[in-house]
Amino acid sequence: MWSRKKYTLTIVFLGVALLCCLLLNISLGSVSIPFSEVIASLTGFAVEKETWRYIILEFRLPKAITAIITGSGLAVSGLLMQTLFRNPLAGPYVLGLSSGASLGVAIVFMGSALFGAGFAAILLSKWSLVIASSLGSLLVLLAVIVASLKLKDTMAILIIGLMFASFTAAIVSVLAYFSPAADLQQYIFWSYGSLGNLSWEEVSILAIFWTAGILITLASIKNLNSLLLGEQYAKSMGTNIKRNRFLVILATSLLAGSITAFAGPIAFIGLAVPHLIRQIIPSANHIILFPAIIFGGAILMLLCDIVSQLPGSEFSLPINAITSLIGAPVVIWLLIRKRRFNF
Amino acid sequence: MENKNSNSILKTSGLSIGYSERSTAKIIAENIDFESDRNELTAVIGVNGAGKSTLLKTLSGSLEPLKGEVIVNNKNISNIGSEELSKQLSLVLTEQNVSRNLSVRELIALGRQPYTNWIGKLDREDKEAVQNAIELVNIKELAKTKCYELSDGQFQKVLIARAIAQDTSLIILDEPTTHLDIYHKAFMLKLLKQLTEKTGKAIIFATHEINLAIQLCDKLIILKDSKSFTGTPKELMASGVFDSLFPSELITFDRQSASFRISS
Repeated sequence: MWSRKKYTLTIVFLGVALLCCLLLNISLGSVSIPFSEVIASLTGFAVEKETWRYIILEFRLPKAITAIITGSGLAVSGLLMQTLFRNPLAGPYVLGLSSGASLGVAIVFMGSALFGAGFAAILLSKWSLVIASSLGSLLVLLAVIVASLKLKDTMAILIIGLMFASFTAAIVSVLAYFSPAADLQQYIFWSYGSLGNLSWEEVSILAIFWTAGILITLASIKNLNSLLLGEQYAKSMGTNIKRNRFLVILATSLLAGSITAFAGPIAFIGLAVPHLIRQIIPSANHIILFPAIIFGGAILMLLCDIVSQLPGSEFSLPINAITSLIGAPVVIWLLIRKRRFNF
Repeated sequence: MENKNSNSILKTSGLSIGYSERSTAKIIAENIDFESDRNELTAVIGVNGAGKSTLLKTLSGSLEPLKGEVIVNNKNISNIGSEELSKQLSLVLTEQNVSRNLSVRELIALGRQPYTNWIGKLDREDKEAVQNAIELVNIKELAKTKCYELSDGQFQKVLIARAIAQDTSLIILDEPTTHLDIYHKAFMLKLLKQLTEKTGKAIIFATHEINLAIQLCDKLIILKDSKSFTGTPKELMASGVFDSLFPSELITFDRQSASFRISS
């Protein structure tokens, strides 16, 4: 067992690593800007070229903040679902949130085939994707919450989430089948996920949802620890199972729902980061895991973002491909090295 | 309530247990009357399906009685909120999805949850209670070990220590001796007996180890064919319940050795 000091040091180290990754992320991009000028732009000192300051403050910084929010939010959602269902395969999207979002977005992009061309024109404003995605998530979320209040068995909620996911995916398939190639492509691009293109206004809305989700998680930490012993033990130690379940689902929806609305369905991070951290830090205690997973998620997302924009080139790769390309080998490597799966 | 016993920790009167589904009730055992006092070790015995688990679930408040009442510390259990109950009654369960990725001390410390603040921080009193529980079940040398490194017997002790750390007057255990070899079975029951003597707790457990239970327990609750028989081992022996507990062509009760034997 690690000493308390070792846990604290590891978390501090992750925090410092996060800061380094943030600076690295902001320093790299298709336009090369000297590091001293990056620092100058951030701290408000004179910069050689005004465009550099503009690139840093209006493009790279909001994107980096989005990466931090997305990475940490999805990772925390993954942790919440894995503990609630006591299942290592659970992730932020097991309750069907991303399927709900994709249904909303699919209707926006491909609904014109069904509802006529005028429909698309009305809907394709700047916020339409965010709203459609949120509405889709919200619809699935409400259904899951209603089910969770009726059901006694937590595992049944997992199955219901999977059923909703299949159901909405089927509707999306039907829409896709009748859509012209151009609409379909737009939808596919959305499903790759994207961290860029968010204004400060949008980033701050995302940050509000993130804060709410994180605060609810913080308030649930004690109950999450009691769930490590299973629901019956948790109940015998005074945990209100149904209220805790509701709070955990709510926190996950606020985090994963808002992130999906603004950045698309970003895969893998939510499932993998909790496992990554558990392999590095040998503890199941949520008081230790929670900050470590926030930092870990943010770090991995920033790194993925750096790789996806292929520094120095004009191209960028879809973020969804990168998260798995980088993340999967790391998880496999850690598992093989430790020879033990900590859960 | 003419018999007001201040030592009484758990009491049932006219208790019927079972499951009710919609309008029909499936009764598993009826008219269970018993009392468990401070310092008493009580075993619940019955063949598979006789209702041991159902009785324990009802006694721990997770299942509503079909009839009658369960009194914990002179209060009807259905009127005790879950937070209050968690300070009076702790559980040791089998076959639970318990994370083994915790250290022994961490797992035992979870037993302090009813007393800790909103984030579960342990104060000095909590740490003392954890240490005390570790010493009572004699697992000091394991305190820093991870639970996945423990044997079944050791892990069972850790779960018992967790229940002790919860600082309740009553501990209910569901088959604490399953998966253990005969030495550890005897050891476990002896440990429970010592705990009742040292801590003053009332301990109730379900078991199939009838021979050990007759030797060690203060009281027995026998469940058979939806009836229940309660009393001290001696009283039950005298009443002749043991003689007909199992089909006599296979197992008979030998009064001389006070134990069950294979029929010759």
